[in-house]
Amino acid sequence: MTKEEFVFKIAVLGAAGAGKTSLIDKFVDKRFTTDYKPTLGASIIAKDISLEDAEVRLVLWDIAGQEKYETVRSMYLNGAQGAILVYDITRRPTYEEIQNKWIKDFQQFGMKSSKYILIGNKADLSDKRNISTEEGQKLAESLNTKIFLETSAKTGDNVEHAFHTLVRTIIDSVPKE
Amino acid sequence: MVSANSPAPNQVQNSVINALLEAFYDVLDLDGKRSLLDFAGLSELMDSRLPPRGTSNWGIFLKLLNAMRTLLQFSDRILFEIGRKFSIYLDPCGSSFPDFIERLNDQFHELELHITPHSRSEYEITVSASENRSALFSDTWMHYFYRGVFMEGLRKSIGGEIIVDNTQCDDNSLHIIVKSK
Repeated sequence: MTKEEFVFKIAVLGAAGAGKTSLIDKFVDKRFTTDYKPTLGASIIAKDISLEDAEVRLVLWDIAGQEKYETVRSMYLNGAQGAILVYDITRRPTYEEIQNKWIKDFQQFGMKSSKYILIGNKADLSDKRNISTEEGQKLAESLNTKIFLETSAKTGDNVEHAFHTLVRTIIDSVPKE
Repeated sequence: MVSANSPAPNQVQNSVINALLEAFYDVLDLDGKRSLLDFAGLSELMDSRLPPRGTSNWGIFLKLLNAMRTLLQFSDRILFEIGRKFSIYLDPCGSSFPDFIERLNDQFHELELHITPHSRSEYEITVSASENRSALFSDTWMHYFYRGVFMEGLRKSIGGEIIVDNTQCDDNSLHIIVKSK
């Protein structure tokens, strides 16, 4: 069977320090570093993945969470077919920003038919947890996405699953010829 | 016709590459510029400017365009903005639009730019390439880059608000109309 080929632009969004870059590093290069260097502008990387029925090139946009990029963020989100919304389970403000800011930005500037999932990152820091899994699920429901996962960029838990789940959701939404 | 400013065959003036790198930085900041250079295999250009009066291998420019085609697909606004900034850095003082196009012609090997004036404020630019290089513009996303370049080129020349009226592409050429609003 010939596999279908797709290219998707995926934005990874969330507050500064939520672990967006670490998630991408883990997914793309299987590496994790404890050094925190804020992303300046947008870091972009291509990653090819092979699914059972499709070959997919992902163009991953790691978009800076700092306020100073507020004005250019709309341009960075332009054309994105999917987003991973990330908060840090140890810091409540990062959770609140998802609803107050990131989902609004994405819905306004991403593609109209785009898909997104919600991620609570840093699940390995359970002793510092401030947001329960149930709160994460509730937020996902209020954002109209059924997909919520807790991930750890450090251990790799659920990281690949998160990206693959989003890709599958996007593919399933593509009208069949 | 090859002007006195034309670099040798298979060479491109460093000012062209520097202008593109400045545009990357302006639009995408440090990490965006780094991403494009890493993809192009040119990370050594991250922290350095090429000597402005020198020339480099044309292949460097092709690698940068290829990185844009790959990483910036779907990002039409960004490609347009990079084109616009590239135009500013390449010709900061501005010049007549036909002269600007001629300058690009001098620089861009394997691409031929032909300008047809419809009036003093409306021009059609045809970009042609040899068959094996038509990927430089046949990819729809790259049209936005050229639109930005030409729009800003005409704006610098005649001022006021400029619009890109029409873009068409066939097998080996791209046609863009820019005009005063």
